[in-house]
Amino acid sequence: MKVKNPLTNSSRLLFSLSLLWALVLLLIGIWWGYLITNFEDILAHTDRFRITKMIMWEGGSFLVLLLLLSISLLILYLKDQRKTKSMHAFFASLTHELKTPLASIRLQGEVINEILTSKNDPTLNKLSSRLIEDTGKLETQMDKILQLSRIERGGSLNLTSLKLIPFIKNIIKKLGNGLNVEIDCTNQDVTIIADEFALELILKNLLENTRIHTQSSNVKINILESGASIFLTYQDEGNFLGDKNKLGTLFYKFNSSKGSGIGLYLTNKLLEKMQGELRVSGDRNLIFKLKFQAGEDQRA
Amino acid sequence: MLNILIVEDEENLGSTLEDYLKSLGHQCVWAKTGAEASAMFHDKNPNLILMDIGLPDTNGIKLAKEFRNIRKDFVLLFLSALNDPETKVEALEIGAEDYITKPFALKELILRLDRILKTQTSMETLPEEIVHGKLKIWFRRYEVMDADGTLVSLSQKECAILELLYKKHNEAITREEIIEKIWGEDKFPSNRTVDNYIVKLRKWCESDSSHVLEIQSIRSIGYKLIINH
Repeated sequence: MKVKNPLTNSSRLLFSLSLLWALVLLLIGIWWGYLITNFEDILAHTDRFRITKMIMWEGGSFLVLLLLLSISLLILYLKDQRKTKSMHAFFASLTHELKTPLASIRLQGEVINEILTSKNDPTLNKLSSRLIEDTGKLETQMDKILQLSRIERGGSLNLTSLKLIPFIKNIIKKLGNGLNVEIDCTNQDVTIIADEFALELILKNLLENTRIHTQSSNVKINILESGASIFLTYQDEGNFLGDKNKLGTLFYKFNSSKGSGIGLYLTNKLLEKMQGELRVSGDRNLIFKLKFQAGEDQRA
Repeated sequence: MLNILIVEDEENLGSTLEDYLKSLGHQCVWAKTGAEASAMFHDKNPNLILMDIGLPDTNGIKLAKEFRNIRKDFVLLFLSALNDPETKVEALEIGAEDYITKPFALKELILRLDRILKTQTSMETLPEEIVHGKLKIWFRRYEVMDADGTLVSLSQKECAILELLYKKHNEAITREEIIEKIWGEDKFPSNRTVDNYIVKLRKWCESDSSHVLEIQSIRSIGYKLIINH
């Protein structure tokens, strides 16, 4: 099942509806125009003048009314668009404003951690490590919001060719704490076209989902080369009880107490920007299949 | 030891960073505004600048460009909360060694500083000006001159690659070695990315028709710099 993109769908629907509306308006206009010009000759009897006048008035006011309605709809639509845009801009600037103090908190935490290492106090060491771990979590959440608002405003990615396996291994080293990840790939040098930051966010999100939503810590990643495409299959031992068709819908959470509901939506959007694709299969034990374009080395 | 200028308007971040880097034995000054940074740049002659982008009186990229026009023998590292690709690309285009987004891991920063220090120390063992035929190299200034007498500015990475090839001239160097030494363990450029850097260096070598310096490709292994006397 390919993950649907609800926002694009709704704007596509809106677009076709307005096209239909414009078409109907045009047809009615042509019809009344035809009536006004031609009925004068056809009607030869005495009521001719009265009927022509009636048609002109009725048709005219009908058209004016429709025109007014269309204009007000358009204004409403544009206002709504502007509001959405400014909301996104607001979130982008807010998260950005939050990032600098967060950087400071993290730095203080890491310096404290380093000083404590020499003091050899296990409790304090544990506490300062948790402090750093939690700033990391906060950071990921903010990156997600920032990327979401950037992508929704039509922001682009910086696509480069990179080696996939060491990249995944590095992310796991940084964030795979407590997870048992097995990577299966025949070609260790496989390269893909991706934006480093976006790819990091995608992988972080998958690992985070496993950590939050599953009891087991086993994860299998399988990488397959197929022509100009690279497929990455991610499978954990989770037990998904929600509606699979709604996965990837913005703000959809099957378990409302956990997660923000933007992770998979963003994953899908970012993959699309990298000319890739996200597919979800499996019933309860979900399998995420990520498609990427093969890197330049691969094609050469 | 590095001579570091920190340009950062956030009080706590700047102050902690300054103290920490000093504790590691580096010489370190901290500027809170663009104007302060300019004064310190002239005063202290830093060889490494940690530059924030959103400054109260100017933009970090603009400021770095001004500094680059004055002299080229310093390493530039951006430390910014902005993480849109456009800004990153713009920052890297003016020859920044790297662009680190805030919040950053201290370890990551220290690893970068260590690598920069290593390159710096290694470059210091080479003479100020190296001449081969019509070609000239000034590693410390990140500049080379081609056979027509045109000065070519090199980015930090181009310069480091040339230095690596130069120090091990007549020896084959694998792409993996180049990636490990120049990019470090936490970056994953493809082999093609390395090739793109070589293209510019090779073009510079080939400007001298007597082939005094030659960068040879060794199929499926890497590169070799040949010095023909």
